[in-house]
Parts: sequence; structure tokens; C-alpha cells
Amino acid sequence: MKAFVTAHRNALRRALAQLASQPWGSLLSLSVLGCALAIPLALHSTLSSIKSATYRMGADAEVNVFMDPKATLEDANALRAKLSTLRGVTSARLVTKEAALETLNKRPQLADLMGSLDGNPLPHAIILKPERSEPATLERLRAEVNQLPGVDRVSADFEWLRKLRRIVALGEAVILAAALLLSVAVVLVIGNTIRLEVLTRRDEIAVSTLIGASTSFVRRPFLYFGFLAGALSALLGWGIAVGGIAWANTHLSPLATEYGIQFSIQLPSVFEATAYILAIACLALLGATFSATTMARQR
Amino acid sequence: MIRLVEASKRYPGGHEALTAVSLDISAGEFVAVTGQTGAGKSTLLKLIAGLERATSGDVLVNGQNLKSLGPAGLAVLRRSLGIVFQDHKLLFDRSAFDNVMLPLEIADFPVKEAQRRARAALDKVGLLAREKANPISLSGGEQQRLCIARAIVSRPAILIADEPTGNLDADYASAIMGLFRSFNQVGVTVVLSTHDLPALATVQARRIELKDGRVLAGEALA
Repeated sequence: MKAFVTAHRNALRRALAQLASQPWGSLLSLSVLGCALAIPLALHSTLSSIKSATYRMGADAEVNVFMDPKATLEDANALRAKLSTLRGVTSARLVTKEAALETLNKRPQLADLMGSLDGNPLPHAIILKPERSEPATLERLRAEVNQLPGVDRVSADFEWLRKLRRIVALGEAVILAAALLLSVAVVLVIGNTIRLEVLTRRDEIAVSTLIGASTSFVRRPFLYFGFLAGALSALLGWGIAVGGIAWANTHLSPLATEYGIQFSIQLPSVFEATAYILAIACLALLGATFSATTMARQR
Repeated sequence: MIRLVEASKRYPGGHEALTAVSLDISAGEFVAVTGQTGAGKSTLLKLIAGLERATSGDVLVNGQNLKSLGPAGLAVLRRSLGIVFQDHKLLFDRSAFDNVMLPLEIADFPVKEAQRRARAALDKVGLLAREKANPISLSGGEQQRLCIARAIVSRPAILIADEPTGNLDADYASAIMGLFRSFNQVGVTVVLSTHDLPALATVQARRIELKDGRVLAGEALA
């Protein structure tokens, strides 16, 4: 066990020495990979924030039921009671025609219009709060309520939500494709880096082999090198993504506020960041293993 | 300790470097393999070190038949030997000290113990003061001593040296032979190849002479 630990500690030391032997070269190579890796992470965070915002908006979704203008207050109360018992409805709030008119009268920009009216043309309305906000659920609820007696019209403006969610789903697919492509790129880039490292150190490898180095001794530092390069690239990518998101938020949040929305792109959580760095490091290890094994076989 | 039984080596292309060589080398012996250029001296040492495989016959080192060893087994065998190469095989992008550290890194020695041993080996060959020097800045004799330091640093029981005094002047050659004699005196089995008979005359060694890949004679030199 002690020998195993010593062997790995020495291999790690040699891998770190490899990285440190060309600090600027290593930093530039890792930065290029880091920049590429920052893109899907930043896009993922952006899309997650949009998704979360659309669900928040969905949670505020309402279905407005407008009654026949001839319906009485008793009819309206009876319908409200019936609607509140419907499956999938959390609450049903009655807005009488008088209350609606009063609200409109309070708006100075509508004063001329309201003054020209003979009577109250508004119907009683019932505002439903649905349990779930998926467009399909809302559509079913609208169809069901629309068939009830005394109901003139049902309005549920969820088309924009449906479109937004479709765009988000498309964005998720694009990010998944980009992430898959970048995964392949990580394996290839690190694999090629290891191939060049092996070529650079071919004399050392040849001499080491002559004096008794095993294949695993030769391979091990390159595997650590690949893992470290992957982890450091991912760390740089995370830093770039976080910096980019913070910068974007300084512009985005005030803009959202102008539209009465609270919105900012959420930074990746500690769990997400750790999983991301580990995943990239493992992909890099895969590339390094493939390359080092191939080169060892060719010796 | 070392036994060859009818060992032959034929290289790709058909050249037979060794033909049915049989010999025994006991623990603690000092053996010099002599002969003209192309006699098969280097091939014989490579067979013993597991750097080449015999085409036929057997090569046994420490009771192990090298024929039965795979790459991993051969690597373990080479770690137990000290090998001095004809062309030194030093790494010119490392210091003298780091070159000597290499076998200990391969053997996964703890760093501090390895550093202590590397300095002791450099001291033994008189190069401790030049531990930071790049091998390229060392003279031919110093490079040879550095190569010997790398070979002895892991304290092998068998030391194999291929033409260790080649291209060295008489004084240096004699000094190098003296180093091998000192290792032999503390129990290390030394097997070296040379065609430098004057240098060999300065030490006591059993001589095995090769000609055209065959053993001509075996005699002890006084």
C-alpha cells in the first residue's frame, strides 16, 4: 500500500513538474480549452435561469372567466362556487361588474371613454388560479370551463408561455449538442497534448525503459498530466463563465426591471461547478489514457 | 547467478551475433568479456540484461529463465541490475543529480531517501561537486562516471557495463576499472565488455573471449 501511494505521489509530482516546466505554454493551452468550455456552462446557466423564470411566470398564470352580460350576481356566485370545486383549480375569485367598472374609473387615461358610457357594459368575471401551469393543462381547463352554462368567454393567455418553453427546450438541445461536441474536443485535444508530450520526452522514456521502468510507470505521469490539464481547463472555464455571467447581469438586471421583471442569470451552484470540473477532468483522463496507451504500444 | 545455455542470437536480417554460447558466472565474480569489434560482446551483455531475447537456448539470471519473463518481468529484472551503456544514455535536459535520481524514481523510492542515495552515488564516483551540472558540460570520463553512478545508485547485486572505458585515455580508463574493482570488492558481481586490454590488466578479472559470436576461451587474469 505504501509503495502504491509513493508511486502515485511521485507520478503526480512528475506531472506537476511537466506542467510547471512550461508555465506560459501550459497556461495558454489550458486557457484556449477553458474559453471553449466556458461557453456551454454560461449558456446552461442562462437557460436554467430563463427556465426557472418561465416556471415562476407560469405559477402566476390565471384563467379569466367572463360571464354572460345578462348574468346576475347570484348566477356569478353560483358559478364561482362551482368553479372552485373543479379539479385542478386552486382558487376562484369573483370580480363583480361593479368592482370592475370602479377599477376602470380610477384610471385617468380612460376617463373620457368611461364618461361616454350609458351604463355598465362589463360582465361579472371569475379569476381562476390553476393548480398547474403547463399550457396543456390550462388548455384543458379553458375548454372545460367554456362549456359551462352562463359562461360567455374564457381567456387564458398562455400561448407566449408555450412558445417560450419551446424555445427553452430548443436551447437545451443545442447546449446538449455543444456539450457533446466539446466533450469529444476535450478528449482529442488532451489526447493530442499527451501525444506531443510523449514525443518531447521520448529520450527519457527510452532510457527509463532500458533501466527498468514498467509501462505503468511511463504512463502514469501522463495520465495525471491529462487529468490535471482537464481539471485546470475546466476551472478556468468556470472562472470565465462566472465572470461573463456577472458582467452580463450588471446590464441584464436593470433592463429586466424596466419591464417589471426580476431577472438575473444564476451562477452555477457549488455542486454543478464540482460536477462540471470532475466531468471535464475525467474526459481529459480518457483522452490521456487513450493517447498514452497507444504511444506505449508503439514503443 | 548468471547462466547461459546454448544461447544464440540472430538479428532480423539473418546476422547471427551469438552462436550456442554457454557460460556460468557466480555471485561476486568480476568477469570481462573481450573480443574484437563485432565479436558479440554487446549482444551477450544485452541478453543478460534482458534488453534482447535469445533466439534459442536459455539465459538464466538469479535462477530466472528470461525466456519465461514478459515485459513486466523483464522490467523488474532490469531494475535489479546496474547497467552502464556504451553510449551512456544520459538525459541532457536534466542535471547530473536528476540523471542519477532516475532509477530511484522508477523504483518508487521516497524522495528524501532517493536524494540521499543519489548524492552518495555521485560522491562515490567523485562527481558530487558537479551534481547541478548538465551532462553535456561534463567531459567524456565524467559522463562515464555519471553513468556508473546511475547504475550503482539502487545498489544492484549485478553490474553490467558495455565498453565502459571506450574512448577514454589510459589514466581515466584505469580509474574507471578501479571503480568497478571497488564495487566488486564489496560483493557486487561485475560483468563488463571491453577491448581495452591494458586497462583490464589493472584489475583481477576472469576473462571470457568471444570471436564471431562464440566463446573462445575462459581464463582468470592475475
